[in-house]
Amino acid sequence: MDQLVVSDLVVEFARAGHRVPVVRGVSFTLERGRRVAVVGESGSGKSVTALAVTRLLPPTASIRSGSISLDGSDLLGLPERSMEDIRGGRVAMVFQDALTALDPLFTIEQQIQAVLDRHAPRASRQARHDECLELMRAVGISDPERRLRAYPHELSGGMRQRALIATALAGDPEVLIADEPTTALDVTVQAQIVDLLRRLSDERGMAVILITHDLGVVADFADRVVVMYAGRIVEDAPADELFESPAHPYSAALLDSLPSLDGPRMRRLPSIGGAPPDPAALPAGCSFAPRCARATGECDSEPVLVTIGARRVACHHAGTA
Amino acid sequence: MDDALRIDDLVKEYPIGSGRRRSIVRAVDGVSLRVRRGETLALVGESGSGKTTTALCALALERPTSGEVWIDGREVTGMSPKELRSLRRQAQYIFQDPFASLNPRMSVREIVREPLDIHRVGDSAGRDARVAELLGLVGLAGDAAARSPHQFSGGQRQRIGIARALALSPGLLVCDEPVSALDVSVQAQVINLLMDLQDEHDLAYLFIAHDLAVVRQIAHRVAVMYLGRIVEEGAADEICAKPRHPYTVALMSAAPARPGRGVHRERIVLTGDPPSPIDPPSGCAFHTRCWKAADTCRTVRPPLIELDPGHAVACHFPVRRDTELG
Repeated sequence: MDQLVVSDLVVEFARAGHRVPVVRGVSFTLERGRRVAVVGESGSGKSVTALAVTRLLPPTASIRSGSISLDGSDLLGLPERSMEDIRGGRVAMVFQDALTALDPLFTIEQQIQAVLDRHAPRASRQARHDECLELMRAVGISDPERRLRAYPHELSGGMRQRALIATALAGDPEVLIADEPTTALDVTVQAQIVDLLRRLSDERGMAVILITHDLGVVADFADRVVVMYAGRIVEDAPADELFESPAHPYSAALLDSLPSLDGPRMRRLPSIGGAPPDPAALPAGCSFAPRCARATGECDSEPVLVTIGARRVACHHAGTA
Repeated sequence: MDDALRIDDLVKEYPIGSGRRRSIVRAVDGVSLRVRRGETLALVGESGSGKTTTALCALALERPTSGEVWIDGREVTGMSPKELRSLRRQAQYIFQDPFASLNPRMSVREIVREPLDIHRVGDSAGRDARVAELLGLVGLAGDAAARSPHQFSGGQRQRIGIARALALSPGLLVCDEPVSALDVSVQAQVINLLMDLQDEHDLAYLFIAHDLAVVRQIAHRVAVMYLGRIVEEGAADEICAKPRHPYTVALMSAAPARPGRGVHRERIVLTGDPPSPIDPPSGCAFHTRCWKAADTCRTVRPPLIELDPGHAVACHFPVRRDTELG
């Protein structure tokens, strides 16, 4: 059953007196307890989409149209007070940089307690402390008694990201949005955090939206992958299908440009020429066409996202390979 | 003399704290390596492993506590400022962050020309011609010269940084994570560019990276660092196909690489974080996270030993690829 439904979302930023569209008609659904990865490069609109869901867009951004609903109730129409109950409660977030996401002036326990107070008030002091301990154990922090008394700067990068996840879990969310949660971490620690998110999702039946630029991280995690380019979804497919046979030329190029650790080494990496377009100066027609090896005259018109089997693709040439 | 860079037993210590709490952290602890002309040596490791400190010492941007650095057969440590300046013509640095490493108030022409101005290469017209040539070399259009850095994307800025580093025709480039700040689709372009430039100009690269898949693509040889020491070194293909140090094995298994193709890799997820160089573990520094650790590993530090020709490992119990981990 669909828990989160985003339809036709359009988000614009005010820049130098102009309105610049950064999310241009994004629609996707998230089923209860499932894991979706949203993949794209900088400027693709992936983080802005996530911020729109939690209504945490910066003041320069505005939602022009579209709807976002959680279990059938419209989030965009809610008064801010009710949104505060949902944010951090039913829908929680984990950000890239745990050092800035956590408050340097409060201990880890105080920060978890703040979420508990807001979303899951407990009667006794002891019960709340026990809850904190349990959350720390759930995210795999050893010696939780001591770590609860620590300030963020006293923890290592990986530990801070775990503590941040613990604060996100405190509201017992149904949906967790993780925006590049592993990007600031060392590779061996990245793998730990991805494993942790997958385990928590399984144990708690919690749906997760993982936002990342790193397709390598996605493979071991997501049921489905949404690929974004220049503010639109270009492909939305079950993870194994996407990695096996990407349908959109951009998804394919993105996969090809990842150097591999096994298999034959190529003299030159296949690369995509050019760079992602400036949202203020998008090419007419398909945004990817100027960088696409398969572009033809047809691509002067913008392709719509069509359903082919279990996936959705926005390309005039999809299915004609 | 075939070595563009040679480092012998490099140690770099930094004082931390003050008064009674004053102590010393050893960021690089006895590193030796060499980079031949036209060769790429990748220095791989996580944050705090000492790879950037090693690189800074290599270009005399930091003064080593002990040890020797040779560039093109000349001893670098103890050089006078004048000698150092002439050294800069031989060895240049490419930085990780193309947003922070280009002066926003200078035009691209001024940025790429600056090394030529400092070293008084040719006349003004000659320098401008050289700038145009360099921009062409890194794949930027001629009109780029008059623009300023903020008008360029991350990948293009990195090309500007590469053009600047090439201005004096150095033989050695230290590339400090040159693609890790770039979008995936742009990373491949810059890696290809660096490889082409190496072929055309016989450049030597000391290439610092944490991404083993990138390293396998670009490097001839790889040295893996952990807490200030080299734990494994060898040919890039060999290290990627048959890593022998448990840390390298774990690093390989954690590396984000193209999924869905080739053999399924065994995943080893290390527990714990990299330990702090302020208080390094006894014996083998990796024993706190190693699944093969035994008592010896806690007390005796394993030396770097050549197990196969050209393949050295610092481990009491190196992984045997034929029987372990498929």
